[in-house]
Amino acid sequence: MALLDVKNLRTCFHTRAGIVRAVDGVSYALEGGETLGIVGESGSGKSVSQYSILGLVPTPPGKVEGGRVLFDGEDLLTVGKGVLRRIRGKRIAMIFQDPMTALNPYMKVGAQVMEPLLLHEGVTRREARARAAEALNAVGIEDAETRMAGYPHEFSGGMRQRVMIAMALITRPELLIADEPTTALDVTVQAQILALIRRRQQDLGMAVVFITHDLGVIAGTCRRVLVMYAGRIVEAAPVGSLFKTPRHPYTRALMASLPSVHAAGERLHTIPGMPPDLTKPAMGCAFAPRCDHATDACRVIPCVLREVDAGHATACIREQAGEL
Amino acid sequence: MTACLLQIENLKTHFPVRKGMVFEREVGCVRAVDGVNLRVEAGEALGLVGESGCGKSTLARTVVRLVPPTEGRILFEGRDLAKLSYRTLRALRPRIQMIFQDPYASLNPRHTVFDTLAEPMLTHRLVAPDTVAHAVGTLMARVGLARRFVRKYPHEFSGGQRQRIAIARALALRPRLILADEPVSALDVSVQAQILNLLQDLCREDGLAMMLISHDLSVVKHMARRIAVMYLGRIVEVGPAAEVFNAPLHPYTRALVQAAPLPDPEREAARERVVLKGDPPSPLHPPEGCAFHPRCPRATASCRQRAPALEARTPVHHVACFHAEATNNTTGEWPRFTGPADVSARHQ
Repeated sequence: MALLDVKNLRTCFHTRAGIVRAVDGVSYALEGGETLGIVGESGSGKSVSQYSILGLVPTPPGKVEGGRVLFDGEDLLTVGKGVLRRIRGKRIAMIFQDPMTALNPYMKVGAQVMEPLLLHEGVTRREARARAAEALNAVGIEDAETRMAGYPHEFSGGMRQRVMIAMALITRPELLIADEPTTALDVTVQAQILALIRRRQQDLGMAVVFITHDLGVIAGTCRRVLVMYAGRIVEAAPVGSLFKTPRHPYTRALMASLPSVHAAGERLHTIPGMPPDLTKPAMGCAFAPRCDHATDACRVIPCVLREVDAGHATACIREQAGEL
Repeated sequence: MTACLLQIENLKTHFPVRKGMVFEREVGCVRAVDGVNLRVEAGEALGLVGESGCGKSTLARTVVRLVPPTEGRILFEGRDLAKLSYRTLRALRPRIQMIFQDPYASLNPRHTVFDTLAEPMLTHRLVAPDTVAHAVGTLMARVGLARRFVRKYPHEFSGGQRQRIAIARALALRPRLILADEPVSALDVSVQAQILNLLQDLCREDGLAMMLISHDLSVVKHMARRIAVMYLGRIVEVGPAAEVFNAPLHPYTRALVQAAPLPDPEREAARERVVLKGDPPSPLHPPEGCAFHPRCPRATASCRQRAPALEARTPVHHVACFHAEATNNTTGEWPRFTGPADVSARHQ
């Protein structure tokens, strides 16, 4: 059985401009120990899809309107708050993009790293302290005992992200959700943090969901990838096959717009138009207005993710028909 | 060499750090820019890369005198901007324009597109008041903004469109040099490509020179003919783009190239990873000797004592390292990534 099985998840935000369908029917499954990447541009729903799973969508204006999220057989959308609280931070942990706002500035770093243990495992403070020091050592923070008495502002960006990782992994979760964990960091520090997440994943055997807008990060870290556009998954594939033979025009356009796939000075491919207004859901494919290959059928036939190669699914009807 | 537009000589920008409320005293100084030598030739695109806090933005701000220089010379078309009075400087200001990173913060929220673009042209008397509307229209067309947006406010635009307004504002004064400080880092990949294309077209059409500051190596490599790498207030390597990326001489450049993620799973799995240890040091307490030595895999005793000067290895390729040797990029990362084979073909 899959560790996480998300079926037809829908999350909307009720705003003055109308109902924004941020996540509009997303389904995927994740096995234990697997690394899944979710890639998309801002507003594609990649973060909201994960926040919905953990009940972190601010309600109102947001609301998870439908679907099922089976984690180890339990539906996280219907279980009681108490049950959810026992899972969050214990069996599913999360790290965020900006470690400055995600850490509590008034709490000593040691106390924050110890907190999940005290809450979820009921260990003594002495034991929690020892394990926190161990966890900080494991993420490469030297002199952990002294550093635990410091506050977040005394740490650099990379060090804060290490603290977040130590805190998330201290309860040995089965699933780690990493929301753009390296976007705020410098390249050399990003390489350190990615290597650290990979190493800790191997040590602990957990599954990781990696949310990012950076195709380079996806290529180096994930085994399977979901590409999201306008609240839907448009392509799902193993990482090798996604980069070698992308089967959705959006994925292809995204890859073609990267400077690193072009010779220096060559004209970059651009995607015409703008991302769609999510308050006005498209009947057919949401990408059709910007797509070079769109036909009249694309604008009216609802898109469904279908497997076209082994493990490689696309929502493009023309790809499914073998026309592209 | 005669066509040198901007020549920066031994430029230093230090910020004093003060403590105490009543009896304020200086307790140290941040050497944000610490002895930079750099030249930009007319019509050339120079890339400046470095991590946060290395002083790349301060360098750009010092060049336009948004920040006063502590020492050194900024020769622009032969005149030293560092010494000019504000009155003389004002006459030169239109010739160097800046584009900032955050198009949300760098546009006045109470100015319509028209106000934003008309103001500099009227202030500097480049156009007469009765023709300004026409000039604004022409500018908007050049950066790909529809003229019907002319009365709209910044909040009504997306990030990419706002960056187009910022670019139009920079072009309004017909500059010779544009300093673009991280112009695309706040944008999504597909929008980033549009803005980079636009900048490239504008530079080619007008023979504009550009200094492109970015932390993203793939962007700089794409746009610039020459690249300068900055670490803790100093230039550590400068040379032709292809050489700097494919055969980096400085260990820091090498680390940067190796750390940049590549959109290719096979190369990512196969590549050699030398992950640098530690964080960039604080410019308040820079290490003795070469600032990079605490993180450098090749550091020796001499690196800890003396800071290496920027020296020419070839007439065009300069490096500041005692142990610089050409390390061919054996993993072959930066030569053009080819798969998916048909990506660029399909989108021609």
